[in-house]
Amino acid sequence: MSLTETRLFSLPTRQSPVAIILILLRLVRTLFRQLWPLLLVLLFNPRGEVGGYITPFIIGIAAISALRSIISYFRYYFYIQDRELIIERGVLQHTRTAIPFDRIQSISLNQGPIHQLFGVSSLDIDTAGSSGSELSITALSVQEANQLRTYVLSQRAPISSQEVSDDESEEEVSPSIAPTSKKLLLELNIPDLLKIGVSQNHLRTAGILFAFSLSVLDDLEQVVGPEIYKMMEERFGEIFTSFIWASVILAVFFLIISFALSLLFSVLRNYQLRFYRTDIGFQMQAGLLDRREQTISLPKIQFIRWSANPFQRFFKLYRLRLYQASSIAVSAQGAMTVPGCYDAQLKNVQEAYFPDWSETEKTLHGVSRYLVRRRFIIHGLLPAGLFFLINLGSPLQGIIGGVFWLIFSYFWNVRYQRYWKIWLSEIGVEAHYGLLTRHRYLLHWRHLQSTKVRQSFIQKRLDVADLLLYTAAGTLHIPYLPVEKAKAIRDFILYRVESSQESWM
Amino acid sequence: MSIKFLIMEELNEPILFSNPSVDLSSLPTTNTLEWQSLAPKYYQLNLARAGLGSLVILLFMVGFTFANGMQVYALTWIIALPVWAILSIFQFWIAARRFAAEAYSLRDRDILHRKGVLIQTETIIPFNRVQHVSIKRGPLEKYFGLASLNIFTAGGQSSDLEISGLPVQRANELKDFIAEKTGSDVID
Repeated sequence: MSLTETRLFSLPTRQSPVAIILILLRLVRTLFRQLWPLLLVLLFNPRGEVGGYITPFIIGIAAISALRSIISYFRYYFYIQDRELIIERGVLQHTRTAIPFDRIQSISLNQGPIHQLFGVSSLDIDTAGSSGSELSITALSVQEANQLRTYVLSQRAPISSQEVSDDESEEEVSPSIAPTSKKLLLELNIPDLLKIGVSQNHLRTAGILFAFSLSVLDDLEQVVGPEIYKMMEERFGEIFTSFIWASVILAVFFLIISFALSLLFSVLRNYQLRFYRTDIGFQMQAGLLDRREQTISLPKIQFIRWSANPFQRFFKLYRLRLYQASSIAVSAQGAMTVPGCYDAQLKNVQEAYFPDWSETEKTLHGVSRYLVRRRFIIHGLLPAGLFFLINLGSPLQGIIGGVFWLIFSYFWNVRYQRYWKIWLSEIGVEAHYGLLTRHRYLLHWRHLQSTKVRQSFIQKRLDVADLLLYTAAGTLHIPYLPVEKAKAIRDFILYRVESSQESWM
Repeated sequence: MSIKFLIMEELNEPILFSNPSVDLSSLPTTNTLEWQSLAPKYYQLNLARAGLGSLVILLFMVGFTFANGMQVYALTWIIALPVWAILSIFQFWIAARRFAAEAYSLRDRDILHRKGVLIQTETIIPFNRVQHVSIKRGPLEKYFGLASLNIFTAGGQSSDLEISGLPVQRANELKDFIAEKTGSDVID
């Protein structure tokens, strides 16, 4: 890095003025989210009496918040001093945050639609350590953002020389930085996008949608006034004379809407997804409106997990996640998610994370049959009993439904238990589980932080135990192993971890 | 130091495994470990905690009655008191059992801790994964002259270890020992 750039950031610098727009927009969004029932009242104003005091109230809140946001922009500075990135901010209370370069895990540039319009980029700085703070700079011109990132990453200690290459990502944005070796593994085209969209979990979207519309209905009743609401309800009541018909129609309606919605969101989110293999790890760019970019370096990947639901299996797609150690570790954000990839890319990632896994000799282990019993009690007996109690009025229906569910649950859980497969080797473990959505994970022993063997008093009687493997990116869990085996596996892993000098990161 | 170390020969000289499949029977095991039990005062501390806990609940119940202007039905108390009594007995039972359930053990390269009455766990943290060690003392622990040792790894909260019921001096010895162990690992 040239000296001029060093000097550039050694003085307290403000963000790009575009940040004001972005901060205000964020404010509008928050306000709207908090106050939208009130706004609806103002718009429809069913009785004409509420508007009187609400309007000045809303305007007051908005004005104060806006003023505060604008001041906050002028009070926000960042600069570099003694190999630390320093951010000073705060309107009433002044905060100074200093991040040593060595603690910076990664810096990612993100551009929303407005960022793209003004040629700015936001900078998210992820730090390692228990403090768990993630910092971000709202808007910086793309050139400055790149300079800052390149400078910080190049000044960072051990792997710095390579880490600069982390940067050529921004080909379109900054052609000045020489591209180093970067191989495109996957670029999603439109059919791929559709496949991924179609195989999303629509039931989950339907659930969210359902909960959301319930809360909206609740608010709506207060907003439009009970009379109109009642009238609406009566009219609907005529159409939906039968409750069952109503719920079937509602369910179909929600499924269709949520199918369309999750398809749309998935396409928007994964539009032009590009997945690269770089010198030091992997990189992903995706998104139409919100173009995001994520870089992950190989040593930081703690374990990988991939899964396929029945639709994805039909399309031969996998959802792949690379879990990295970071300050926000145990949350989902620490992971890089490739929403859809094929066998070739999966193999590539596996090969990079765990070079000789496929050649390693492994032994196959299963989990105890007692797992069937436990799951049968929780997922079979309990719901069946509840169903019977609900249908006390017509016991026959209750018994038939309950018995049917019990039989189904039994066979399901027998298969579930059989499907738990654990391949152990000297250097790592691969586990398969799940019937409908099939999950797999791969862990190299050197990423292990600590282990736990857990036994409830019931498990103690059955002589089985759960084995928990803690990594810096989350916990992996093997249930219902025979105690002796769980302890033997644990002892072996510890032997591996303790007798090697390999670092976990 | 008065701590007994169980040094495992196997770990001192790393053996190259020539057998590629995992031979589970030939590994160093934890079955023959010598567990160190905690300070006898920890037993009293647990009972004191249980006593305080049930006292707080009782006070809360009395306070609730007063807040309602003593207008609580006698029936409420007739039901609430036995429930409180059963819960308290359960709490004391757990507290008494906890002492026997908890123990720790130091080895050359890791530290073990087991605990739990209803759900028993056995945690092992290798020294080369320890991030930092600290000692914590609450007011009750101070009264009983005890301390808790906290061992942190990068594995997040659920993987961290807290060994409570240690005499203060022992806790400090352990802290220094682990700090030294992990420090030397960093230099390696």
